[in-house]
Amino acid sequence: MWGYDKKLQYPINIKNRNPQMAKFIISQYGGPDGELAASLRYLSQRFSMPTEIAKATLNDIGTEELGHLEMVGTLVSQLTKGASAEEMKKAGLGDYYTDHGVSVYPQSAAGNPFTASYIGVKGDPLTDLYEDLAAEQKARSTYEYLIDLSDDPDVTNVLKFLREREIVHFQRFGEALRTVQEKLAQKKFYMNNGMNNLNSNTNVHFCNLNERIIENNNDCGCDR
Amino acid sequence: MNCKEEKLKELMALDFKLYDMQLYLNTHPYDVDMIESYEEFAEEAEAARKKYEDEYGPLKAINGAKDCEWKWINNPWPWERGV
Repeated sequence: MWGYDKKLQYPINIKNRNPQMAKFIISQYGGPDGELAASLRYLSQRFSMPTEIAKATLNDIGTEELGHLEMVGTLVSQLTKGASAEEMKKAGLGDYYTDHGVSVYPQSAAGNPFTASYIGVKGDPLTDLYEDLAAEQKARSTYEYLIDLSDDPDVTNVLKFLREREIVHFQRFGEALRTVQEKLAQKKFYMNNGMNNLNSNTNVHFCNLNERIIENNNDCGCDR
Repeated sequence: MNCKEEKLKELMALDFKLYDMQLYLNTHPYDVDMIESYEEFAEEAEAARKKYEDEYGPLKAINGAKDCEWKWINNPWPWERGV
């Protein structure tokens, strides 16, 4: 279940209208490596994740990506606010204006509407997590291209923040991947103990011990 | 149904009632009687949530740290729970 916080994850306040830049940035709204695809990918993949760490990671990052979707939408909205048909046309958004006026529609920079074919949900946790690692890199590259295209610090600062989040997510997905690899290695070893179902709750206790090793390194003053 | 499930269902009902009132108030922002009820139920729901979390674990990540343990990630997740 979700709730909504009436705030952005990072402040956005653009003073200069720039529909041309909006046309580029909209790709991170509804394009192939955009935030909508990211959110939908992680929130769909989480159902087949076998470890607590992987479930939590996909759940929480999938949720954060919805916040990023809001941020990218805010960028597009502020960059086009009050633009005339003439300005939209000059920015290469004449086609867009025809179908959507001055609004925020999930499409790529080239005008392709959002499609679920941008995401993979394979049901194999390793396969899915490798896709996620690649997806974070692709999103990072896209933000870097957008930073190249931007000459307004009000916009660039936001893009830099979003780029950094891709790097953090990549790191966390790598760590989640390791817990899944460890669990799969265990499964092979304990095949005869009824651990042949990754989603079975019978092995929860055992895998918890293993999963928590990483966390146990954090000394928070307790005896463990 | 065990006690935890029962308590969660009670909380879900309370939260849902509150949310439905929220939608109503969005289109009737001057309905003073409903605003009063909302305030009352919001308090009740918040108290019930706190009670549930103290006993059974976090429903929000912000309440995920307890007794020096990060309980947020603990199984089961909602899609595994059956309610």
